[in-house]
Amino acid sequence: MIMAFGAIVARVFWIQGPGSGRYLAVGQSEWTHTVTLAGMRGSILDANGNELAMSIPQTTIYADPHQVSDPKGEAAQLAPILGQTVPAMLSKLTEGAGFVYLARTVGDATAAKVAKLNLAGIYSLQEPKRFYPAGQLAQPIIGLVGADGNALGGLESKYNSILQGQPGKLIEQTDPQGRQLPGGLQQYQAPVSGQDLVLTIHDSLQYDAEQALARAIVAAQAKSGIALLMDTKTGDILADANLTMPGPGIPSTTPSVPINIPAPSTGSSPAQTPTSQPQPVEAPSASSFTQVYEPGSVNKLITISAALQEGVIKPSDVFTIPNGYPVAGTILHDAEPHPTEHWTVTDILANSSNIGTAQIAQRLGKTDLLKYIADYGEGQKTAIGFPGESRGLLPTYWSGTTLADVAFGQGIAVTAIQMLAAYNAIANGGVYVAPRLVAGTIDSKGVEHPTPVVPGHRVVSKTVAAQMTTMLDEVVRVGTGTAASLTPYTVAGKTGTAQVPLNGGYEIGHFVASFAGFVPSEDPAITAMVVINDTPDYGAAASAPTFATIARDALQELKIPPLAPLPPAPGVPLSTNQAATGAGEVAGTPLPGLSAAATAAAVVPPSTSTLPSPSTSSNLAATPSQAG
Amino acid sequence: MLLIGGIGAALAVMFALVYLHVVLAQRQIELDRMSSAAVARQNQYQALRLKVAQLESPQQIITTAEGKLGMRQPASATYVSPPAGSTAVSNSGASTTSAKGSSTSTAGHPISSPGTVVAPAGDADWPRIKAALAGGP
Repeated sequence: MIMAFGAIVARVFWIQGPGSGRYLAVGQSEWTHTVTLAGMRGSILDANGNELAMSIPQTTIYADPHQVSDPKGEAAQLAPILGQTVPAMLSKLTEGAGFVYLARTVGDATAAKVAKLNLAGIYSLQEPKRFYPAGQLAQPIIGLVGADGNALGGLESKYNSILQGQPGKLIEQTDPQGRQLPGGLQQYQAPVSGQDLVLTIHDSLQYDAEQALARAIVAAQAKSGIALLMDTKTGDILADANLTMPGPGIPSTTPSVPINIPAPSTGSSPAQTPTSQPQPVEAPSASSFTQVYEPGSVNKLITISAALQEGVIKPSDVFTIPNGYPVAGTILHDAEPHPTEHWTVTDILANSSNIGTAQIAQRLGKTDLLKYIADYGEGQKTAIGFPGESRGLLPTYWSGTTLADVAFGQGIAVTAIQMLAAYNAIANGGVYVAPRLVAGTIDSKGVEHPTPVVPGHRVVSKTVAAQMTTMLDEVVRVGTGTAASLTPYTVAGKTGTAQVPLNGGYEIGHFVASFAGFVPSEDPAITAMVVINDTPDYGAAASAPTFATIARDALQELKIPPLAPLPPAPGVPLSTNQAATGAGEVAGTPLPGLSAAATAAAVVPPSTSTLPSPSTSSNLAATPSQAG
Repeated sequence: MLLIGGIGAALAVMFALVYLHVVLAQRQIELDRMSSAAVARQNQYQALRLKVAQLESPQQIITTAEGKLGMRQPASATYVSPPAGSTAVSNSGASTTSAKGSSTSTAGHPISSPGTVVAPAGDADWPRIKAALAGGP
């Protein structure tokens, strides 16, 4: 008896004394909890500080099935509130684990309803959820963040390391209900919020661009499109719209920015009503960076400016342009048949003559052409380094016709952002300015860090840039780009129409229609580019009016006044054209809000049009022609 | 006497300890309540911030302007030339125009220049707010 009592006393002494450590550790593990504090992901802001993406704490409902006393009853109460079936909820509440998510990042109202039930074993915690306040505006550029906080493409992915915050930690002693014990241990390590990303994009200009592009895609019966807007002086991208029609892998149910497309019956009525026809949706990726296409005639800018810079041509040089021009055993044609013409360089550009450009390229030569192609930024990624950005494609094998083909934008593939930057170089007096998409960051302490400016480089002289500007003015004044006119502003630009590649050849009647230019041409403030992909229309009809629309909106929003027209650059003859030759090639639909000149240029009354349709106008027997 | 004094002192110490624990518990409850209120206010602020951002989105503004206010896009824009010698000053900068409507200076148009970063719209003291929104105990 005494020995038993002594053993008990000894055991108690051991437990309370030297052997207490083990039991103390077990006890502390029961009431001590470590809570990970999420560092809030930084916002993505537009150039004016408007949130395009932001993270907000939301309530997540979870259960400890070990503490759930009445699984069936609780499942019946929770399921309708959380929008789940009772069997599914019951399955979660009867799992063997000690932690089961019931619903993540629910709304405040839902969280309040669950809290009001006060069910055993049901708890809540705060988790950040990514919101996009402007809907899917610019989504291909911004990207997405999944439910687990993983970045899924776009800038969310590229800048994930600086957007995501550093988690903190809270160690505290709590009771079974999670309440902190008075005077209990508490260690706190503060989380660090992620940095905000400030873009160069203006949300309102982005919206305008997407709306205008969507209308153009529908009107041109196209598959997709790109509209880019750039600050000429800084290279800041003000808008980058990437839309596509629903198709394989792109369900029509994908929510998109609602687009007001004029109903066919309204005609010229300004009132717009949404139609039931399929509408473009945001593209799966930023096509302006990731998708290459044959630029067509917009590439003539590079050939002609390079030839001027190298001194192999003068603007006043007159070229003989026959209807067909033999090159290495192949007969080149312009987009439309014509008698033998004697055109200046201005006329060649205004008429978008493939033959004239090929002759200029022959004077320039392959080596110099490639040098300027590289100087203008083609064949290489931009300084932006967008995820999945393409370098573009340059010919790896040069046949006898390759020089001529590349000169007018065939046999070469570029991204829209590359071509935009090329035109921006001319707008900038011959200096290439690296495109910029991110203006800077704001760190967790609110300190702003501007993105370092990538130095530009001169491509052509100021004189050549001025000469090119005068010629591009003529393209819009009397050439193929009249649909881009924006009176009283002077627009300089160029149309492009390339055929869609198909199985090693080209698809008849399917074009990539583009327009690139800048405005006001006297002192450019905005450079823009529109690409309409896979349309039966030419660039003059499909893209130029959209350029006019987005440029007009940008000029008004940025309060850029019209300037007095400058005289032509010395030595540059004006075009001998008397009327637009390209804009009226394809019967189109008038787009709302255009100037009278642009609208008139975009429309050809069917009864009076004698011009062939684009699918039959090009002589494709030998080398497919590119039309302006 | 000494024993009674000792017992009294022990009781006093015991009651003092109990009182301290009661006060500690009360303060902890108060701390929990304030902490919950602070989190609720932070969440409310974040929710309102989201709502403001949504209301300021271009789509919402267009919907309100066209749907509720009956506003329409103008068919065309009219450009007005100020009298000779006058100076027009916009919100974002000065722009001097001549009688012919041509600008002699386009400096100051509101395109942001490199080296400038704009904090979230409407949050003038964003640095202080952002630091305060970081998660807390």
